[in-house]
Amino acid sequence: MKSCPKMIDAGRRRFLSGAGFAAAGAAAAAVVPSCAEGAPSPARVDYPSRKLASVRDLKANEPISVTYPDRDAPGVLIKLGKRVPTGVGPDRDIVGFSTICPHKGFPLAYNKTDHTLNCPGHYSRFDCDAGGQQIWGQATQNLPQYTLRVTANGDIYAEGIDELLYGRLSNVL
Amino acid sequence: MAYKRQIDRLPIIPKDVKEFNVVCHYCIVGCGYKAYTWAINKQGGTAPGQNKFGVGLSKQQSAETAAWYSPSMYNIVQQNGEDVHIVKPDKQCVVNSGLGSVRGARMAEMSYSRARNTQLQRLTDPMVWRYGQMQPTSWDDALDLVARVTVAVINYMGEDGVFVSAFDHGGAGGGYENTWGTGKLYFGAMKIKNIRIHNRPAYNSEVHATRDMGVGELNNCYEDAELADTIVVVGTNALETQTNYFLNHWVPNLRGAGARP
Repeated sequence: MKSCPKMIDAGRRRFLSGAGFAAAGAAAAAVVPSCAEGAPSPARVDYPSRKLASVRDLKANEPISVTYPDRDAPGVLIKLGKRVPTGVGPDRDIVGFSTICPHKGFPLAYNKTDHTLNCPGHYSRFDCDAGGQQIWGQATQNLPQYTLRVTANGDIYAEGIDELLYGRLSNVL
Repeated sequence: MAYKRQIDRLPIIPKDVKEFNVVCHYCIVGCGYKAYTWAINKQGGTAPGQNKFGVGLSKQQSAETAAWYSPSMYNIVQQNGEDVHIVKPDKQCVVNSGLGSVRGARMAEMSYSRARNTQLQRLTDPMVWRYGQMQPTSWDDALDLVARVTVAVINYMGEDGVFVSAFDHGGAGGGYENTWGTGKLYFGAMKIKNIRIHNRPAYNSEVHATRDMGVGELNNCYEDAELADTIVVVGTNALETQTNYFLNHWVPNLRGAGARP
C-alpha cells in the first residue's frame, strides 16, 4: 500500500511554522497539499473514552442506565453477580450493552431472573451472560456490547462497541 | 459466546442509485425489500442532500426508521461489474411495512458474492451419498443412479412401490426452476402415485389431514388477520415461520388496532 508522504511534509511544515499563534490553523491548512490518494481508513471508527460509573455504584443484578458513545445512544451497565467471559471489574461480572434493539430500534428491558434484555416491539431476547447473544428474535445481529476498562480506583470507562448500533450507520456520529 | 462482526459503520447509500423493488425469496409471506446498487467506489454522505433517504444521518434515527440497515443487509455483488449492494426491508410495502425477519434481513449477506466468498455456498454439482458423506458427482452418474434404483424398486414392488421425496416450491420464482424437471419426470412421464415434499408426509397441507377435516390451510388474507374478532390457530407457529405476517398483521389486531366499537 502506498502512503502519502505529503502529509508528513505538511506536518513538518506546520511544526516548523510554529503553533503558538491564532492564525496557525488556517495558515497550516492552506499549505496542506492535496493528496491524490486517500489516507488509509482505520478498521473501526474512533471511540471516545467515557466514564459510565464506578464499581462501587453497582449492585448485583441492578442495571443502571448509561449512554454511550453519546447521549442519544442509551445502554445499561450491569453487575451480573457471576463471572462471565466478557465481564470486567474485580469479580469479572460487569458488562455493558446498548439497549436499542438491533431489529427495529425499540427499547430493551432487563429481566433480572434470567439476565436477559427483552424487546416489547417484536419480542427479541438477548442473553447478557453470553455477550448479548440473541436467544430469540428477528434481529440479524447480536446485541452491541461495550468494551469496558476499569481503572485502579474503580472507575468504569467505555471505549468501544462490537456491533453496529441501530439507527446509525456509524457508531460514532 | 455471542458472535460479533466488529463492524461499526456501513457505506451510506448515495442519492443517485439504482433502486429495485424485490420480494423476499424465503417464505410465502412475500415481504417487500428494496435493493440498491451503485458503483463500488462511490458513497453517499450524512447531509440530507447526499443520501438516498434525504435525512441527516449524523443524527440518531428513531425506531422503525427507513434510513437504517444492518450489516447483514449489505454486500458487494456483481452487476455489470463490481457493485455495492444493499437489500433492506421496504417500509412502503403493505406486507411487512419495513419489518425484516432473520431470513429476509440476511438476503444481502447471503447473496452470491466473490468478495465475501458466499459463492462457496453454491451447489454446482449433483451430490450423492457415498462412503459416509455427500460427494459431488456428474449428472450422468447421478441420473444413472436414480434410474437403477427406480427400476430395481419397480421390479421388486411394482410401479406403486415408487415413493418420491422431492423438493417443492421456493420463493423468488425458484419453485418453477427447481421442480420443473422432477415434475415432468414423476408426474408427466411416470405418473407416480406417491410423492412427498419438503416438510410434509405427502403432497398435502403442512398440517396434514386438515383438508380432510374440511379446514383448508392458508384460508385467510392479510386483511382478515387485521380485522378478525377471533383467530383460531391450529398446529402453526406463525411468529417463527411467517414472521412478518404475524408481526405486521396479527399483532396490531391483537393489540386492539382492529377493534370496532
